[in-house]
Amino acid sequence: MNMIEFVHLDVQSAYSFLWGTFTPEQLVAQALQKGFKSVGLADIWSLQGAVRFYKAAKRAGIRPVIGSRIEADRGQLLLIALSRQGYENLCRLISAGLQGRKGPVSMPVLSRYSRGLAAIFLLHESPLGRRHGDENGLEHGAGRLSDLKDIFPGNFYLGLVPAAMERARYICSAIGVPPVALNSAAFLTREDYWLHRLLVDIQRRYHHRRAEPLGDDSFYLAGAGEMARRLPWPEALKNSAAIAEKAQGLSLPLGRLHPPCFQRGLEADRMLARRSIKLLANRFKEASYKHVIQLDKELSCIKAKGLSDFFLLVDDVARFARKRRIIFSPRGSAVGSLVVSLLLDGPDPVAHDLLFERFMNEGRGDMPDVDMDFDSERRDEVLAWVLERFKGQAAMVSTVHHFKVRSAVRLAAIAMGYSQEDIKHLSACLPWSLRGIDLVTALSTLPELKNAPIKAHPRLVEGASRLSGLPFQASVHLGGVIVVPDKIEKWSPVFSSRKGFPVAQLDKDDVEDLGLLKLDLLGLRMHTAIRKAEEALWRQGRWDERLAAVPLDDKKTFWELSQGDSLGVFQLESPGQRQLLGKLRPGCFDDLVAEISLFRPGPVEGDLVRRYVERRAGRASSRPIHDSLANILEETYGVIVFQEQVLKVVHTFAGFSYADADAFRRAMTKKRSVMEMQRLKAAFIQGALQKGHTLDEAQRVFEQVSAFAAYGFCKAHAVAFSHIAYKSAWLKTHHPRAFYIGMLNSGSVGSYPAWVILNEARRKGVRIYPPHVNHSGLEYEPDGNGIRVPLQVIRGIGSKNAHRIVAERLRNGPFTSWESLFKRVQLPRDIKAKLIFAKALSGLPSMDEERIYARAA
Amino acid sequence: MQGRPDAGLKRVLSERINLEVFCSSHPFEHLRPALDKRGILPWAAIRQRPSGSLVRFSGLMILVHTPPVRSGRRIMFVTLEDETGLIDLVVFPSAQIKGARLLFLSEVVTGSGILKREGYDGVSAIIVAKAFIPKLCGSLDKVAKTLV
Repeated sequence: MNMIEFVHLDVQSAYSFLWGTFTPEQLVAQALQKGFKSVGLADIWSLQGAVRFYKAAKRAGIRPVIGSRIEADRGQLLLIALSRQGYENLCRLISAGLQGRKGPVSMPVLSRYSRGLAAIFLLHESPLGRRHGDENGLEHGAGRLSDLKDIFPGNFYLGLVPAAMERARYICSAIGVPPVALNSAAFLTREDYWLHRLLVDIQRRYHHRRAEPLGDDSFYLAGAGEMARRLPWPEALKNSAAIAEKAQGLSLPLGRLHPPCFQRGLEADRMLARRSIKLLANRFKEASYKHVIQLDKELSCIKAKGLSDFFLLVDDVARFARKRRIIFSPRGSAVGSLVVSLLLDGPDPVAHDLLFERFMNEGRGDMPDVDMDFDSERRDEVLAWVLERFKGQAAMVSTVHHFKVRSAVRLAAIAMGYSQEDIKHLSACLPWSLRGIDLVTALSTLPELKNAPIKAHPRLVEGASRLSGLPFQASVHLGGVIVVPDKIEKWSPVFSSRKGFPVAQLDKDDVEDLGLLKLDLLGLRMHTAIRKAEEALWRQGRWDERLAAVPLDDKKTFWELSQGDSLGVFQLESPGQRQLLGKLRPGCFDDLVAEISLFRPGPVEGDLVRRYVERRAGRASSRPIHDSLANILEETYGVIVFQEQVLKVVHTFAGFSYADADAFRRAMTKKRSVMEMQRLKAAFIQGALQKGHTLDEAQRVFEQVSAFAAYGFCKAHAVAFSHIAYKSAWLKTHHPRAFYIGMLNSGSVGSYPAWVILNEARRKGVRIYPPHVNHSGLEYEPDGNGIRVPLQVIRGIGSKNAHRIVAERLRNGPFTSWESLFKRVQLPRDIKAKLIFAKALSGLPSMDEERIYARAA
Repeated sequence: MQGRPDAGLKRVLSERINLEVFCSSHPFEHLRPALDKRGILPWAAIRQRPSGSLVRFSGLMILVHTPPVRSGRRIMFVTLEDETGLIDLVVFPSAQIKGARLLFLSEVVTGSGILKREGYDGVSAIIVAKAFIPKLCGSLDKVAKTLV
């Protein structure tokens, strides 16, 4: 029996948001099950799912075909990348369309970027394929397609679906274009047609878009036999396989590093060395031997990896921020690097006994992550500068949002036509996410959902269950910026964010797979809060000179913390942290580092917290797992708390290099492979025996290390955060009113809403003054010894109206009466009422108070 | 004994409707006499009691958190606030059967539980919630009307 040659090329996954019903991984699994050796993915104006599709297909032994559906002047096209150049051109064409708000790509642009691409004209999506009995129109339309044939010589096809067979035959013979069989699959099985319709209904009823679902349930990943029955045109079927074959010319460069290169070559190494040495000399006056050795080691490693340019880029970012007086700090494992510390004014890794190898080592194949936190209100200035400086070479990373249970219920309900009131009622008590259990299980197990009204709506439950976990929109990553070696559009399509920043259709995992450099330039509201607290002190003439370099051994600060008085303190304010503060009673900076590291899901699950607390309190022995490891584990009472300790233990006890030790640590995650564990155990024991340890000792230490390695926290990151935590605690202790003002004026800084912070301020003796048209500004402000609440806290007043009132007062002086306010500022009637009810006019005379009051009411 | 709400309570209830914060006072300052009569003590007094005491508590709901815990059980960590400070509750699955829905839907939560003090001087103090009082859970308005 002849095998039918057919490959699905026109397949839209859930990355065609609110259209496709499956993930690329599910597509690959289904293709495998149906016996396909090759399958395509062609999302609409998107390559967002391309990298994960490519990876999943390669892993499963299926040949991936990457394409996208776009709209050109002549109608809808399915473009397929046949080579790397084709992929790059596809990125450019999608970008061209996205930047024109998904408008058609013009013929000149299409012509410019046509190389390496196969183009399939989607006849059934064009008026040409739907028009009946208009032979003149058909002839004219067919003629217009000749242009496309010229643009894609030898690679232009006519897409064929059963509904437009006859017209297709005519066009194919009229202009000599080969046909290709398609099925426009938006769901994997017939049964999922309803899910596709549900997604399209969300588009229509929630986003108010004009969208039509596919006509029937035949648009699924049908088998080759069924496709042959539906489309009895062997050449068309065969051509789909031929295109898939040609598309194997594309290979995505995964698993290799692609650092940016600024053509400085060896000069970059010298520049970085000179800069680092200069900063070391400035910072330490007399640098210690340890610092010099450390710096030499790091510079050698950076040079060997060809990453000097990257570190100079980080330096440039820091210089810009310093010049603009934007507060910043490093975070993550990069804090363990002396070079990073010098460039970014971070904590001293030598003093804190941090480990560079946790950040970078010769064994790591991925790009090092240097993450920076900026004052959140000024972070965009840094982003704009980086994106402008590397224009065409940089873009922000995207994030794909997935339906969570609550949003799935709400949107499914909207699509199904439920009223807002019903939706509120039905979604009451539903959590935002369910941590690994599905909605049906949650409804039967969670006590708060025991009598949930949604249970009486099985169709809604089913819809929401199927939506949960599906991607539904692309957004901008919190601060990830990629800088590629050449042009960004060679790597990904680019669209514009609301703020006008270029955004790549790559998420952080794609970026890592492609070996691209990612800088995380994050906004940290606590930096903003600290800045605003300092500004409040400055404005009040209460500037404290100690703020320039807050002393890290302030007893009063540690006393307050040990009382659990940490509401608002960075990283230490959660209920669990407040409890832990009371148990640990931090007395020095290193205690804070341990505190911040311990209260994490890993250490909590690994029972490290209890062990640490017991040992620190002297209620349990602090003996380390082996005497030779006493120095390494001394700071944490014999408990492995930090990832850096895992590296040191494996290095010291089993003689692993730090690169191998880091690989050991990373292998000890929760998703451990049995084979890998056995290999590592054998290597560990062999290394330990060579170091002179007994087999029994080696086995015992391995068991202990492997049990806790997955739970450790990165000490470098904890040190960086502890500095910010300490400064916020110090401010709260010594300048509580300024601290609260800073917190209140910086948006949602921590876990607690404004009313809780304000209540605590009152408990601490700070007077709270209500909003008033003559005294309130647009932010919380010092007023006498208290805090004056801004006008925006009046429910429903809106920031525009508040701005108008304050601006008029600043321009022409205080309001002298109700009438004076209402005459000088034209306010809607309901806003006047809100001001009156909120007593924001109290004390001001009114000529006709009763009448105005009655009117407003 | 029920009577007319005092001016302070009226004012703070009005603030609740019109403002996003409480400016004049904490609402529980005005509810305290009625709460005292029901044996519901302020947090500042509760935390002075010996560990293991059965206590009654009441506060404004701030947050409910269900982080992953070592045992794999679903434990709710709840933070309330009264006029004297933050009250941390632990709600084990047995207490969740009747209380979970109240916790998610109430602005004011009232209940009873066992005080657990740990650490040096018992600074760390939590209440292991045992039961909730539905009559005194719900919106601030409703609870105030019930009490005063």
